[in-house]
Amino acid sequence: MAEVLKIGIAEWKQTTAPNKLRTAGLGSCVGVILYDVRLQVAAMAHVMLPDSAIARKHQTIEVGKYADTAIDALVASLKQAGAGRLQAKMAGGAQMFQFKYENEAMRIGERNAEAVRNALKAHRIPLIAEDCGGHNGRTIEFDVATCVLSIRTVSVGTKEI
Amino acid sequence: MLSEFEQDLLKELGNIGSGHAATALSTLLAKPVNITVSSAEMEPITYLPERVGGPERHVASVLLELGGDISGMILILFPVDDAEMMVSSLIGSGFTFQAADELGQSAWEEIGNIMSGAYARALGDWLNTPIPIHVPATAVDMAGSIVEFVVTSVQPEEDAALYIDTTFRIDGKVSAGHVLFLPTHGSLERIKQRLMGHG
Repeated sequence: MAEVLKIGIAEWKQTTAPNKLRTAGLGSCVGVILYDVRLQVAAMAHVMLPDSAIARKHQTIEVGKYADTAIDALVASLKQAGAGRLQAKMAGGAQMFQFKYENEAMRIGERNAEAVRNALKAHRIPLIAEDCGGHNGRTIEFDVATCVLSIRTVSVGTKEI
Repeated sequence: MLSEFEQDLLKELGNIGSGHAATALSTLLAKPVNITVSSAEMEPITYLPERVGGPERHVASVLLELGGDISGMILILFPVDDAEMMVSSLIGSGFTFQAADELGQSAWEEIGNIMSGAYARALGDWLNTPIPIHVPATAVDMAGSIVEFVVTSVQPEEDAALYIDTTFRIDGKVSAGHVLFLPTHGSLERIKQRLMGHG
């Protein structure tokens, strides 16, 4: 039986075909999936913030929460599972509210997406497809067997990348 | 984790803020509006969307940013159906967010302005400190996508979200409307100091 693994805010999980990975209600956060087509293994993280440098010194870092630590964790875990050539897909990074005044904090979605792209580049992982930005929430589901990412929104329909 | 004492203080804060917001809404709609007892929680961010009906629940929201000594955000969330019903009763004709009718949209913004402003003013009066507010912003989308932005903005360095939640009932009907107040970490300390100073 195929299972759908749910990933909450700041979490990450890994699985193999025929299972699917799903995260619901992405806003400014970014859902990123790393996968090995040949081995049919994939891992997804629900990234909240661009950089783990913001975490307090004494606290144990929740690795799924930050773009840099999440990508490191996904790569390490997939390599341990025997994955070779990794590829990536991502979605999210929206700006949910449009304020009359603009400040840096409001652009958090954009900064999250950029941080994930940079972390992927640092690991030399090709970004095969992405659906980022805009002003709408997204629920995403990744089918490990086909490597297709389905994206559902409330107001702008559904698509597959 | 919050101590029982801290929880009680924050619940009281929630009751006062949302009590004023409910009165404002009741006056606006000319209908009775009741609030349930507020809850004050600190729990992993991952669970917050479940508290407001699940990450994919379709909601209409208003977000107000607070400045000054007591900074943070007030987030008002109503299921889209309930928000449309409120707007329809206010403008006297059927309203849907999808139709994007300008009169209805500004009526919704006004509901948000009045409720969140009443909440913020009540907080400021009780804490005896002016709380400057910005113009609120609105969004209609999945609940998860809205609350995660708010937590990210207000408490980025925390792994547990601190929030005070109050549920609304309009005209006797059980609504799943929520008002959440998320103070910044520094504000929580200042709130405690002020409340304890008052005895």
